[in-house]
Amino acid sequence: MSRRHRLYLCTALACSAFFASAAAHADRTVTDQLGRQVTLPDHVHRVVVLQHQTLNLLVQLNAQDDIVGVMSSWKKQLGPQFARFMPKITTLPMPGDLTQANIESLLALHPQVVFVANYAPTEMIQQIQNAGIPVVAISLREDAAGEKNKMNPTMANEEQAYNDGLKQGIRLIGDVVERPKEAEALIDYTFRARANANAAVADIPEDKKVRVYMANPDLNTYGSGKYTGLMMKHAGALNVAAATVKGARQVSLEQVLQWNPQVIFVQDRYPEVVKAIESDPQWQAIDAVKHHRVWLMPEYAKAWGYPMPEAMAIGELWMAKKLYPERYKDINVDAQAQDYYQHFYRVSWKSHAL
Amino acid sequence: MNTASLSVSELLFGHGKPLFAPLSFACQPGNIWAVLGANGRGKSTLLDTLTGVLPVFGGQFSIDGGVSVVPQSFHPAFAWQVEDVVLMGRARHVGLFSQPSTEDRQQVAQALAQLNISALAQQHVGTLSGGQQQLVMIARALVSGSQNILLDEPCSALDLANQQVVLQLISDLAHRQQRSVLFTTHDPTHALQVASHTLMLLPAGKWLAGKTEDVVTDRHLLQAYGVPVRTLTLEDYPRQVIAPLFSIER
Amino acid sequence: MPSEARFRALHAGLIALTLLLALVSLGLGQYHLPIGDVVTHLLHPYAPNEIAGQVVWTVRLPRVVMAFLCGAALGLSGATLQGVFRNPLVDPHIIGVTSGAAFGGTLAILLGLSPLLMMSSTFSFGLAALGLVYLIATLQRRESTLVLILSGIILSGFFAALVSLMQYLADTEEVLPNIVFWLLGSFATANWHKVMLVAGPVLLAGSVLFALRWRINLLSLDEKDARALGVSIKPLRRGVLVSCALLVAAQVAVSGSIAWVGLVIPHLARLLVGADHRRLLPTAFWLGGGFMMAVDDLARTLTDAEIPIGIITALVGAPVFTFLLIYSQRWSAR
Repeated sequence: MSRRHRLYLCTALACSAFFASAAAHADRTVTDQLGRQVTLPDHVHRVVVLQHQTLNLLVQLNAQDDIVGVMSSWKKQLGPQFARFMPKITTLPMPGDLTQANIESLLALHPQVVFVANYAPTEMIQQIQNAGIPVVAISLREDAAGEKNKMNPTMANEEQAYNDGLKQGIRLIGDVVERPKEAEALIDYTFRARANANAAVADIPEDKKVRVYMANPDLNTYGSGKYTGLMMKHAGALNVAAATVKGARQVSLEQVLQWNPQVIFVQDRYPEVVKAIESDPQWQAIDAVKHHRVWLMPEYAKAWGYPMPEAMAIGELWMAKKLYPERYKDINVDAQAQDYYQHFYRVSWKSHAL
Repeated sequence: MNTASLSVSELLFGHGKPLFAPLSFACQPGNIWAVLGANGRGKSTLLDTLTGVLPVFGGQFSIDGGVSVVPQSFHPAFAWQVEDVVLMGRARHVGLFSQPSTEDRQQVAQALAQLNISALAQQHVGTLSGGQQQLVMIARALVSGSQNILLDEPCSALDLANQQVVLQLISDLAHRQQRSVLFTTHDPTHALQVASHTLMLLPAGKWLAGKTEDVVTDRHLLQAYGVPVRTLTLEDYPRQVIAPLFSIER
Repeated sequence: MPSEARFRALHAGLIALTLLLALVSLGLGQYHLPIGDVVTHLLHPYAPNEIAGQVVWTVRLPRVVMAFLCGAALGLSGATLQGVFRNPLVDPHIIGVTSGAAFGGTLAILLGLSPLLMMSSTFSFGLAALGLVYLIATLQRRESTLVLILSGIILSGFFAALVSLMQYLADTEEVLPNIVFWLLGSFATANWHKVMLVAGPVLLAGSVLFALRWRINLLSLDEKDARALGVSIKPLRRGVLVSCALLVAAQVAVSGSIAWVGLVIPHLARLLVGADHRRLLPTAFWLGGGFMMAVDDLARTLTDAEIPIGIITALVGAPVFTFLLIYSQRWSAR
């Protein structure tokens, strides 16, 4: 027993010694989107990103050179085309993913901060933190206290939660990697562009809104509490799933048939779903399929559960024009996309579909 | 030492309902009881009741000095070695959380020697012949140190040579070691050969118990088995033998 | 007895091999550390604020110890249960504890409970599953091994269905991946706290089973046979099953459900030392621990990230088991 006590003691000593030394260099504290107080070094140049939304934002904040490790499923989440924004990503080590991390791989990279999703397992966050590496959790959503890491948190006002959450998240990430100006620029551009784009469809009454279904593979879709529904709302559409489905979920074909959406959208990262729906006899009775309104969305129209600035700035515009072309006769969406991409991705926008 | 080590008094036993009228008999140390009866009559059931596996419906039995059973067959789930199987017979002598001691192992060695199967000690039980397995089971019963030994059809699956061995053993157990032995068999000659007393289980819930020469008669055997038999006395052989008189129609 | 001496030598060799394997495991990992440094840090725990020392003491050592304890728990409980149920095809899952524990853990993830609550939930539901098995057996008024196995199968099925239900209710983006990963088992988040939590039950239940190792031989006899030998089967079996439940529930609580180890290791052990549980149980204990450490080494070094250990034990376990089945036939036929 005393041997075990000694073991405990020297472990605690080693940890505290490490923390003491770490604290000497750390100079600032931030509050992450799980409400945690995180102590960071003054200057951060080595970042590990274990969340695809944060990865996307870091690139848009022009901080990709600080990234030393990415999540292993970035290709699946962001699409392989993402590499054109950040060529070196294909050579980066992948010490973990959204829900797990190899602590030794992380330590070997000597990161100064690790970005994780708000729903990363608590144990994983604790383990990384205990190893002396600051962990910043990003949710892009402002939740009430106590709901911060739950699935499907009850949100009094989804719109506000996601708007404020996105701003908070971008500012937080910008703060951590010392790009505050870029962060403000991104927020500013995004919300102005959105306000401009939404104006044309803001007055459409509820019952006249186009009924839209978001088709993910295997009959998965997004219900209420997700940014997807908000995106559709801003585009003057109605998410058929929002009334009865909470969160990201698999639904049944019968439900889809009952909703009978007028339009079906498919995210850019799942092109096979378009073909599957169009060729599946069971879907032919649906209004959207009958009238050939099953559309693959462009890369920037990320109708995800979490909001992304390019989705707000140009994605919503694209969707609105697609649904109400007569209201956007003079608007060139591609030009807007080009502008955004040059600004924040520093490459040209090339559409490879539609 | 004339008190019975196994005494049964008005015992009612069976599966679900009693098989026989209340049963009473008593085994003294040094006595050998043979239990005769047709197949399915209830011989094994009686043994199960006496070892506590089956519940009693009425009456009682008392056992002095412990009881061990030599089962008819042994189907091990694993590849046990002979000495490990025999060692299991020491269960009553080993504490719950204890391991068998040197004393226990010595008992095992003795029993194996007594039965002349020491050479088989390390072999797997599953690889032995029926007769050898029977001997292993007897050794296991021996090491338990019980006063009463019950054998369930010990000769049924054995050839004549092995039957000789087992019957001799039964005799030794009773006469040389003063144990009470009870064995079931459906061959009445075995009873005549070695048993001092016999319990015969008859149809319709009836039974007979007493000295072998009184119970094992042609008339009783006809009642028990439905096949006429003749008891034969031979000139050059001390004991009587039973010859069944089958009638075969051609 | 010559075979006694041979067993003692084998046993000692096994322990030595396991310790050696532990040392080698401490030298493996994504953070590159030469074995000399590892040994130095092991001998000098008070080395100040060095990452290397931290990797050895707070990352690798608890993980290796936890892998050992979990593997040993599975090997021991698997061997015991195969004896109790007289069936070499039995796996610790048979008593329903693994499924019950899996349900407890999945529920905790769904509800967003803290790690400590999650481990309590897993452990409690695991033990509750055994309680339910006995409840079903009691309702049938029989407690034979067949009844227990059938009840175990029923409960495993029931809890597995509940786990599927939890997965269905979970948000497919935020919660489901967590559940799936946890169900596959992992030692990735090992720390000294978890080691304590699993060491307690393992040492307690392990000691009980170790003391009962000869009695478990008797349990593997026919019920009639054992009764005739004077063994009170029901209480003994209950005690043994509760001990096994403790082992399995503790293992699942700290590392998720890990399959195959509890099935394959006892077979391997039986091939080495025979069916006598006095030798089988300690052998299964050390073999299980060693095997798990080796597999965990693979899980954390094959790729940059973590491979769930349940995947590797299945990929390794199935072929090994096939090999054992084929060769044990040949070896016992000789």
